[in-house]
Amino acid sequence: MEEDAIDQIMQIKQIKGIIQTNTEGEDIVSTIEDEQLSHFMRFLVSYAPLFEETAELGSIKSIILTSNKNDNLGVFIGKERSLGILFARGCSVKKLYSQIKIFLKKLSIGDE
Amino acid sequence: MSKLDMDNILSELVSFDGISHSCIYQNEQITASTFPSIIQDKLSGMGAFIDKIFTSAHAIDRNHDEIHIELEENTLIAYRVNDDFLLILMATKSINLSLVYMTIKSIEKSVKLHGITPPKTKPAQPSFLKVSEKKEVGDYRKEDIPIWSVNGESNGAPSELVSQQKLERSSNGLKKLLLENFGPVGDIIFDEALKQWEASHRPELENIGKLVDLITLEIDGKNEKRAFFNKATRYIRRSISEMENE
Repeated sequence: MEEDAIDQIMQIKQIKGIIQTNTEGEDIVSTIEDEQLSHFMRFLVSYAPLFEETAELGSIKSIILTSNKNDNLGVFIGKERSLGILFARGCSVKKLYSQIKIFLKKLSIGDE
Repeated sequence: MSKLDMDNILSELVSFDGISHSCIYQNEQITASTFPSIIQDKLSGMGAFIDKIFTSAHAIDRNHDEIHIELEENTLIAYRVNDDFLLILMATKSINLSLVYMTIKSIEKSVKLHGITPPKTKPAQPSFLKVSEKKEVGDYRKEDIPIWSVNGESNGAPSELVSQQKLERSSNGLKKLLLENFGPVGDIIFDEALKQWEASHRPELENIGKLVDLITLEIDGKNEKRAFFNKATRYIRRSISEMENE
């Protein structure tokens, strides 16, 4: 079921790559060839708990970075798995959410 | 020329529906804030956290300058302005991102031209509502979602404009503004910018700010660029607000 969800996410036109990691930060699936970018996404996932401790505003569900010059990227943080997504520069944050929301549920990430 | 006041920037931002608090992080400290006093001491840590993410991204040649940190109830949005300071906003998840984007771009340009000054008074405003108060979130959400629904469709209300009509209205307004300011040349500028916009972005109202950027790039002369950008920014904000109320 998880594999299906990953495959379906990859079918979305705006998605350029994904990386799925476990709680240890190890890759389960990755289609991102840029190793630096993969490291950065893993860094975001592992950095999130530190922010939660600092801010005390509750848990972080996702972190998304956008740019006019590069593709956008985001990490969606779950208890067992996290998903990093590289998506097209012109795709808005809200558009991305709407497209992948259903798949995040299948991957037990985000709202149950 | 007089410099922009940080407090004025923050006041403008929190006047938008959907933004509850904002602050400026510069030189490893919070220099202005409207966040409740209860979390003032945590803001520096949050600023440092966000700054490190941007710095790390730049270290691998990624020029990201906007970050959305989704929390349970709200979203923390931060913009890196002119590589100089961070503008951090606490917003509802249904925030109208176009309005915010245009305002940030306007601030960015103004700061480049005039610089900013720190607030004269103590930044903390303890009287603002706490971030965690759910009532505040709900108050905004009901109004915002139908207009800015992610699939670009209206909520079915007959009086609501569909997203395509909204986009056409806004882009036609921009074109008219160009024609008024530059005559027939405005037509050429608009067509060129529109072509680039459609090639590099999804042609949606959410991205209209990028179209303004591209038009501004096509205009010669620093003063002309600035004058048009300010007019366009005001027009888009007014236009979006009006459409929201329709």
